[in-house]
This record gives sequence, structure tokens and C-alpha cells, in this order.
Amino acid sequence: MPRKKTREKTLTCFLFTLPALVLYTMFLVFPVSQGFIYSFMDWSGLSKPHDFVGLKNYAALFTDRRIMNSFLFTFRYALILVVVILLFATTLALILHQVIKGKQRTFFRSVFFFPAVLSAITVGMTWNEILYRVIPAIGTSLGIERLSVNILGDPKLAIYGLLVIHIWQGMAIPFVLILSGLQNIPSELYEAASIDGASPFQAFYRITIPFLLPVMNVVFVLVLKSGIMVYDYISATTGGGPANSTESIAVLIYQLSFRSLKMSYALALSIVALSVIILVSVLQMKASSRVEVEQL
Amino acid sequence: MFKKTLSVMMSLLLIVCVLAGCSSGTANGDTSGTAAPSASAQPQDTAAGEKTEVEFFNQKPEISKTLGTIIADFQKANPNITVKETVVADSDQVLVSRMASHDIPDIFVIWPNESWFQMVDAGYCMDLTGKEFLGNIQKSALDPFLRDGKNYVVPISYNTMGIWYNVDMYQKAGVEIPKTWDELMANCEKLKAAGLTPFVTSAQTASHSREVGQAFLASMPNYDTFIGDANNATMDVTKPYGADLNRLAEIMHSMIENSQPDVMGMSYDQSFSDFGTGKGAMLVDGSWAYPSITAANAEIKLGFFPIPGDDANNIMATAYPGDFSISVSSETKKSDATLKFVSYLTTKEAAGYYAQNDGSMSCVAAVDYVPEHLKYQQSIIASGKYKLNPDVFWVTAACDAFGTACQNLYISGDTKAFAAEVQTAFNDNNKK
Repeated sequence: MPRKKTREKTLTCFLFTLPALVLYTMFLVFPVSQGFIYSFMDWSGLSKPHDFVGLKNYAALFTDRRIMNSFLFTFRYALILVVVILLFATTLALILHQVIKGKQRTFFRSVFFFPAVLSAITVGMTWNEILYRVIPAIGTSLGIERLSVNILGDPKLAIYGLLVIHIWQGMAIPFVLILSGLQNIPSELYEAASIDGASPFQAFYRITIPFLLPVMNVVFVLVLKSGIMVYDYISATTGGGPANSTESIAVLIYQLSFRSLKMSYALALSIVALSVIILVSVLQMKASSRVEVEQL
Repeated sequence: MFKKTLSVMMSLLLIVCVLAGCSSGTANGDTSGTAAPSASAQPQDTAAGEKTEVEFFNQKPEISKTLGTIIADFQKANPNITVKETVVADSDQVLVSRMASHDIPDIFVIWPNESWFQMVDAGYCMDLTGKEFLGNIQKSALDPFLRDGKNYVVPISYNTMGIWYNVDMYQKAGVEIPKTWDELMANCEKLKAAGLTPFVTSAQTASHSREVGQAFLASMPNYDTFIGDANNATMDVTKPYGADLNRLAEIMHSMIENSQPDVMGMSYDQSFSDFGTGKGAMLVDGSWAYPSITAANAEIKLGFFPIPGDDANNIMATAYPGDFSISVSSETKKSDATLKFVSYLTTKEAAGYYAQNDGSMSCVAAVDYVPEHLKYQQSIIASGKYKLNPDVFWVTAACDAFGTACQNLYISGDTKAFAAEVQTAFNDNNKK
């Protein structure tokens, strides 16, 4: 009887997803909900949770200059990161997909993916050495004054030093995702397009992009989140300095919660950051949904 | 057939890995931020014959080896007690989280300062007032950390701040330990003439800039008034210490001028390796840097002297009896065993062994060991000419703001703006 079979099938599917659902609830849903509730209190993070203070923490956020500066820095950082990584990763993936074939492709794919397996702190510390010892040596011999010192030590240029480090490692996974996305596009479409007299640019715009958009959505959200929550590279190098010029939202959350012991305030900041990420992601997906090709 | 065997073997391997991961609990090297609380499963203090396990939460991984020997000796003399050392990454966060979830380690390493006072006020630290082993500790080490007249911490060793110098480089340039800052500047000229960089300075982070900057404060003639006002967030630079701060800004600026080219770009770790490998003759830092400098170069001949001011007769060192200090959990269920180990750490054998291997000065009265490189510094401290570390009563926001003020001084070179920025740093942040 079909109805019984469907119910059995649904139950089996549900049971298979149950472990993942339980873990997800325990380690994500529950702590985030708890954090959300604590953000309405005045808890220090150390003492017993205190009184309910309503929206006081949220109101204070928007008048706090240090927090506003961290928002400006973080959004600027995330915007540049997303644009550069999407551009570079797509370009690299296109080159590897169309120009390089066979064993060479496998080799380069491994080489470009390698940064993803390193820990962020290791990458940060290694790049700190490169930016302090190697780049200035090159800059001095070429006579470029700005590059003769560690750019992480300059309040105006430190953001670019951090972006270099982040892009070096952050490009790896998007690159692999976009490459596999490219490999899923049916090649007959390109043949048909060239027969119909389409230019390479038109083929890219009309075929590649619509098929790539689902992957790009995923990549966009991943990179946006890693940009807005950047912490490891900053903590391994500038610590938020020099002179608070690289204090991202995540660094500030850490400072407020574990150093200044203002946990509820930090939680309110986290919730605001979370809301921004959700909002931007939803807007981006809605905008691209009209153009992308359904993959299912 | 092969595929089936392979998949069965892989599944077994996966299950074994999962079980192994679950059972390792809070063993050494656990890098996850939130270990599952095990408070409910702690065994009670048992009668003789049963083994009791005491957890020692160590926030100083560099002393782990030394501590291991001390623990082994203790366990030999006390076969019923096992001391388990826990070392984790981001230990400060883990400790705060564990306290909030009432899973406080039986003993934990802590640096007594404003954050620690909050832990005391929240009731997480055991009141140790009147315990016999406190008599082993120098009174001058205990007094700064009393809270409402009670003891909540056991200080074991001192650290001190000042200037490390490379003895060989000093001899090469023919210079001696300076008694005033002007003499130090003259030394710098001689060092430069001998082709040597006078200072190695790291100012990449606000926190290390604060550590270096605060080492200069004790040389101010009106330091006592300054620190009182700074701690109470009532600073006023029209008072005499305002002029002292201006002079301090000039002094710190001249140190930067005599350092390696890229001060803002050098990290703290890089300063150890550069100073250790002879790229500069002097390093302003604390005595805790000894293991890190010698790790970069075990052959280096080191000396240490306090930062000189303008008065040769009033040289002040900075000392902090909290370099290695421990507090006990107020909620421990094994207080007998725990206090036994704490008491052992204050004995001449344990504390003496620690001092020799850490290269530090002991707070334990019976230990008279002083490492060679600290003998001169120790003579100044012993004569009473020292101030407590300035940041003991600063909240972290004030510490960070002071560090940022130092960084701004180094970047801009504006020695006139420093005093006002320091005032804002303390008055805005140190309110309690």
C-alpha cells in the first residue's frame, strides 16, 4: 500500500537526519537562543546572571563610538574581501577549467587548495614574519617607502595587510567550489552557443553565470561570514591595533566578553552582527534567484 | 566482497575514533573552548586508602616541564593524591567560562589584578586567610593582593620589569649600566658608533605597548600621586605628575628613535628572536622573558637593570609578586588534598626548584636563590626601592587605552599630547 510505504520512507529519512539535527540543536540553536536571552540582561560573564535590563545593551551599542568604528572597519573589510575573493577565485577557476587540462590541473588544484588545510593562527603568524622581514626587504631595495616597513604597523595600511593574509587562505575553498561548479555545466551548451555565433563574453554571461550562481551564493555567504567575523588573523598579528585601527566586530566581542567582562553587552553585539549577516545573505539570494539555473 | 570488508573496517575505525574523542575529556592539549562540565561527577574527599585527584589549571605553559617535576615529587611523598595538570589554549576564556558554569578547577594559576578581584567578589576563590602555609610567603608579597583584608591568592614568584641588555654588546661598546636616562642616551651613541642597534622594541599590539610603557612609570618623581589618581579615574594633568608625563613621553620617544627601524611592525615574539640573536643591545621587558630569550639563543649573556629616570639617587624598579600565583576554588570537594598541594608549593624545596628553573625571584621567604642576570635588579628591590606593577588596579579597558596612548605616541612623535591621552584613558575607563 503506497501510503504506508511513503510514511515508512519519510520516517527512515527523518531518523537518518536526527543525529545531525540533535547536534545542530545542541551546539548552535541552544547556545544562540541562550545568548539572545542573556543579551537582555546585565551579566558580566562571570557572576550569576543578573537582572533583566531590556533593550539597554542594544541602545548603548549604537551610541558607542568604539563599536561604530568596529562596524565601519568590519564592513569595509568584508566588502573588499568578498569582491576580491569572488573575482580572483572565479578567474583562477576559469583558467584552470579552460586552459589547463589533465595532470597539470590536478596538481594546480592541490596547490591552490593547500592554504585551506592550515590553521588560521599559523597562517597569521607566518604572514606576520613575511610582512615584517621579507616584504620590507623587497620594498627597501625597490625604493618604495610605504613597503619598507611592516604594513601591519601602519594604522591606515594594516587593513590591507590583513586582507592579503585572509585572501591568501580564504580563496582556497571558494576556488574549489567554483571549479567544481564550472565542471558541472553541460559542455553542449557552449558548443551550441558557438554555433549560434555567440562571443565568448556572451557565452560567459548567458551560460556560465546562471549555472554558477547557486555556487556563487554559497561562496558569497561563506566569504561574507568569514569577513564579518574575522578574528584569527587579527589576533595573531595586530591584536586590534595599532591604535584600535583593526578592531573588528569579533575582536571587540572577545575584548568585551572575556577581558572587560561585559558578556551581555558582547552578546547584544553578536546578535546584531548575526542579523546583518542573515539580512545581507537573504537579500543576495533573492536578487540572484531570478537569474540562476535550478540545479535540482 | 572486498568493498564490504573495507566499509565494515572503516565504520569500526570511525566508531573507535568517536569513542576515543569522547572519553579523553579535559586531557592536556584540549583546544576546544568549552569542555563539557564534569562538576557533578567529582568524587568526595575520601578516607585514607582511596586516591584523590586534584586538578591544577595551568595558564603558564612555559613552566609545564618544571611543574611536572614538582608534581612528581609531591605525588611520591603523597601516594594517595594525584595532581592532574590541565593546559588549554585561550586559557583565560576557558577559566571564565568554567567559573560561570560552576566547574572551577581545584587550583588555578591566576595573575592577581582587577579582573581577578572580580572573580574574588563573585565568590569563586577560597578564602585562605590564616592558613599555615601563608606564613611561608613574604608579607610584602601578600599585602598588595588582600581583598577586604582577606587572602585569596598564594603568590609564589616575582616578576620585575626593566631593561634586558646583552652583556657582550655592552662590553664591545665599552658602556656600563646607566644611572640616569641621559647616561643611557650616551650609551646609545656609543653603541651606534660601534655599529650596534641600541634597542629592540615591539609596538605592534596595544597590550605589549602597555607592558613596555608601564615599565617607565615608576621612574616618575610624583608616581605615587599619579597612580592613586589613575586608579580612581581622577587624573588631572595640571598636577605635578603632568610634567612628569611630558618628560616620560620624551624619554619613550627617544627609546623609539634608538630602536630598530620598524617598531610598529615588530611582533612581541619577533622582539625575542631579534634581541636573542644579537640584532639589538637592549630590550625593555619583564623578567618573564627569560625563557623566551634563551630559547632564541641559549648562549646569550644577559643582564637586567631598572629603567633610569633623571635622578641617579632615586632609581626605582617595578616588581609584581604575582608572576606565578595560585588561587583555590571555593567550590572544591577535595579541599584537604588541594590545600596539601598548595602548601607543598610554598616549601623551600618546591619553590626553590621552581625559582632555579624559571630564572625568577621567589616570594617564599626561605628561598634565597636569585638568578645571575637578576642579581643587580634584586639588590635594588631588596633595598626597598621598588613600586608594585602599575596595572594591578587597572581595568582591562584602561590597560588597552593606555597601550593605545603609547602606540599613538610612537606613531606621531607628539610628546605634548601623551599626558592628556593618558588622562582620558584612565578617567574614562577606570571607573569602578
